[in-house]
This record gives sequence, C-alpha cells and structure tokens, in this order.
Amino acid sequence: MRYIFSAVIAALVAVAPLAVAVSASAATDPASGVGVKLTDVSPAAVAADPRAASYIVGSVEPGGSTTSRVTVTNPSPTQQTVFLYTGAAHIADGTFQGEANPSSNDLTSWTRLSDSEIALPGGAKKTITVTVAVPADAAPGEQYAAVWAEIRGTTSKDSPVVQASRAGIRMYVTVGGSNAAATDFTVTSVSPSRNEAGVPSVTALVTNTGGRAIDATGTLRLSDGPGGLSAGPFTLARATTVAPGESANAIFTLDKALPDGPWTAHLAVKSGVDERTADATFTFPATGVGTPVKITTPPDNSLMISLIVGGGVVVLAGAAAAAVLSRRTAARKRGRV
Amino acid sequence: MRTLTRSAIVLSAAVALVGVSAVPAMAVDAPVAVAVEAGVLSITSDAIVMPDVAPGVASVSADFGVAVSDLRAQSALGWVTSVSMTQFVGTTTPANVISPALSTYAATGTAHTGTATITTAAAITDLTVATPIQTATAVTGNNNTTWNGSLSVAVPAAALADNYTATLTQSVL
Repeated sequence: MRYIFSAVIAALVAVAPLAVAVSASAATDPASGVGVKLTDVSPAAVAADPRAASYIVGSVEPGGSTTSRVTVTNPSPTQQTVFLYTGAAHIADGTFQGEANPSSNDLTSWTRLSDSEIALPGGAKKTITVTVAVPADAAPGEQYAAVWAEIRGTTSKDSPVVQASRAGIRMYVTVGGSNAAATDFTVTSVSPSRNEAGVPSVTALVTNTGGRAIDATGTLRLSDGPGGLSAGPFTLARATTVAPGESANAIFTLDKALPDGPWTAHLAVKSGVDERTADATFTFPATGVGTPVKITTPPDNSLMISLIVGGGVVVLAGAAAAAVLSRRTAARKRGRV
Repeated sequence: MRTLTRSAIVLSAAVALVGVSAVPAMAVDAPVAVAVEAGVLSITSDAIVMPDVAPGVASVSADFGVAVSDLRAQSALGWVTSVSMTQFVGTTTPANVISPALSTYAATGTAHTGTATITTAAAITDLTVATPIQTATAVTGNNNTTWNGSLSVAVPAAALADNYTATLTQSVL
C-alpha cells in the first residue's frame, strides 16, 4: 500500500517540471532554465546540520576528501547544453554570494566535477559527482564556493546580449587539523629615499600577519608625476622572505633620472598566488631617507581572504600558476572586490 | 512574463495536488512514513530581445520574465539570485569594449507563491560584479518567485563602431 502511494506522489512530483516544460513550449518567447539539487542526502548529516539537506557541507581533515552527488535538470522543452563548473563564493551583507564566472579560491581549486559539459534533452536530468580533495598542507578554517550548472544562449540578431542562467549548490567546507594558519600579509608603509649617488629607491615595509613564511616579490609603478610622467613597472631585485609575525623591507631600486615628484606609487606585493596592493603619494628627498608615508589605499584584505590559498607559500609551478594568476588578474581587472 | 507566471501557477497547482493526495494516504495508513523527495532549485528566463548596441544611441534596454522555482521542500534555507554582465566586446575588433559598469538591471513586478519572504534589491547600477537582486528568506517548503527583469545598457558617446556582444548572467544559489 505504502509503495503505491509513494509511487503516486513520486509521479505527481515528477509531473511538476513537465508542466513547466509544456507551458514553456507554448511560449512565443522561448524560456530556458536549469535546475540543481543535492542527491544522496544523509539524514544523519541533516540532523547535525540542516544545511546538509541542500548544500555540500563537509568537514575534512587535511589530506582527506569528500564526495557528493548533484543532480542537474533541464526544465526546458528542448535539449540544452549545461556547463558545469565551480566558482568562488563569499559571505557579505548577511548573504552567501557566488562570484561572477570565472572565479576561483582554495576550495574551487580542490574541487573536481565528473563532467564539465552535458547535453540534456528536454525534461531530462543527470547526476554528476563532486569530489573535494583537501591538500595535506591546507590551512584550517571554513571555505565557501559553489557548484554551478549553467545554460547559455547564443548570439542572435534579436539581441546583442547573450543570456546565461545558472543554478548552484552552495559548498561550506571546513578544514580541520592543526596546520599553520593561512598566508596573510600587508604592506604597512612606504618610504622614498635617494642615496648619495642620486639613485632613488622605494622601501615597502611588508608585515607577515599569517601563519606561514612568505617570499615577497613585487612590482612598483609610478604615476601622476611632474608633467604627468609615469614610470615603471619596477620589480624587486630579489624576493624578501618574511617569517610569520615579522616585518621586513622590500626595496625597489629605481632609475637615477627620475625627478623627485610628487608621485603616486602603486605597489603590488606577491607571495605565491597571494597579492596585496597599496597606493601611496610621496616626493623623493634630495638625498637620504624620506619619512615613511601612509598607504592611501589600504590593502584589501577582504578580497584576499577569498583568494588566499591555504598553502599560499607553496609556489605552484609553471603553467598552473600562470593560469591561476592570469584568471585572478582578469577577475580583479573586471573590478571584482 | 505571462508564460512564466502561468508556469508558476501550473507548478503550484501540481505541488498543491501532491499535498492533497498525500493527506488521504496518511489518513488510510497512518503509521506509514511518506518520504517527500526534495526537488530542484531552478532558474528560468525568457530570451532577451534588445536592439543592437550602436554608438550614438544613448542606451538600449530589454524586459524579460525571470522565474526561480525552489522545490527543495526545506525550511530555513533561502536563496539568492544575483546578476552580473561581462563587458561588451566588438565582434569585428575585440579590442573595442564597452564597460558593464554603466549598465543597469532592475526587478519589477515581483510575485511569489509559497511561504517565503522575498526581498527585492534596488536596481543594480553596475553589473561588473555579481550583485544580489532577489533574496528569499524565512522559507518553509516549496516556493516560486517571478519578476520582470529590465536590462538597460548605456552606450558611451566615445564608443567605436562595431557589433558588440556581452553575456548577462542570472544566478540562483
């Protein structure tokens, strides 16, 4: 008896998306959509944390992994290509916010999806696997991301705007263990100076506020100089290593021909994949060390927290690092904060 | 929009039907635990029909229906719909770009069924960053929300002649 009723209910539940499909097919404007849900929900996990009913909620030790399954549905009447990917997320203004694609953070770099692109006939669904493998050196703490299922329109003569719709599953993954805290650092102050030979230099005081040593490299650009001059980018001659809790000077040696200023300096200090930026306005002294100037744009730590890679000091080799950096740079250029 | 609203009504009717049929099942065979399987969180949007972005035209705009259907049958778990847009890129000369910072997105005529508090944000005036437009809180069970999305693209006078395209992304999370 119970099975019959279950079946009836299942059938009725199944009818719901079909009703949408039928109605949408009658439309003059074709509507298209995509849906997601978490599969294999564990009642014990939900009892411990109600979010586990719909979100990927996990507590993983460094070196461990967790696997979840997500069902993707196509409520539209026609076949659609669904793109599957992960994206960074953060909590702001009391809401869990997914970032515009492409975006990445630690958690997205640890997450693998079984499919990146699936063709779903109208009304069909498919289940994919989401595996989070936490590296052995991951820093403890909670990380946020999303698994996205996206459908995209194509350019048409009707509109210059291509439409993308995506539905996501939130991911809250807590890394346990007693690894050192994540990489974090700030540019505390900037001092202009000019030595006896007349060579100007800019000294940036870098403070390591995280739990891991950093190897700071960086670039310096000067703008808004006399007569609208710009100069740079200048790079650090060598990486400056700063232990946790310590501060150290990173010195940019500039060109003797540079006028005294005033200048607006734009610094970008990097360690591994983490980057901090700082702006300062100063004038080079005729000779000697000028007074340290305050940073006019404080380092944006809120952004960096979302970008911090737990093993930030682990320098990713070759193309992988280049790819990550270029994606982040691109994201930052688009003004993501 | 009309289609989407109709879809939502059909959907709610179907959901209501589930509720109705579940009640006699419980009444006939009281000790039975009926498992209500959670459904999906989905977003549906009408296609955008918009005039071409051309230099000399101050702005172009489009209205389209959007629907979010939350059939996860959960309590407390809300959802957030965010909107972002890429820059417009020239199809002839990709170096020609128009920033999405001057494009706006507004949600009007928001309606919902089910138990949920839907908060509609003020019009988004910079589509560079994914920004919430609809937020559902105090959710109990299934809910459906529809609205009319209005996209307006400002075209700078200095834009160079080209065929421009951009991607508008509406996300539910």
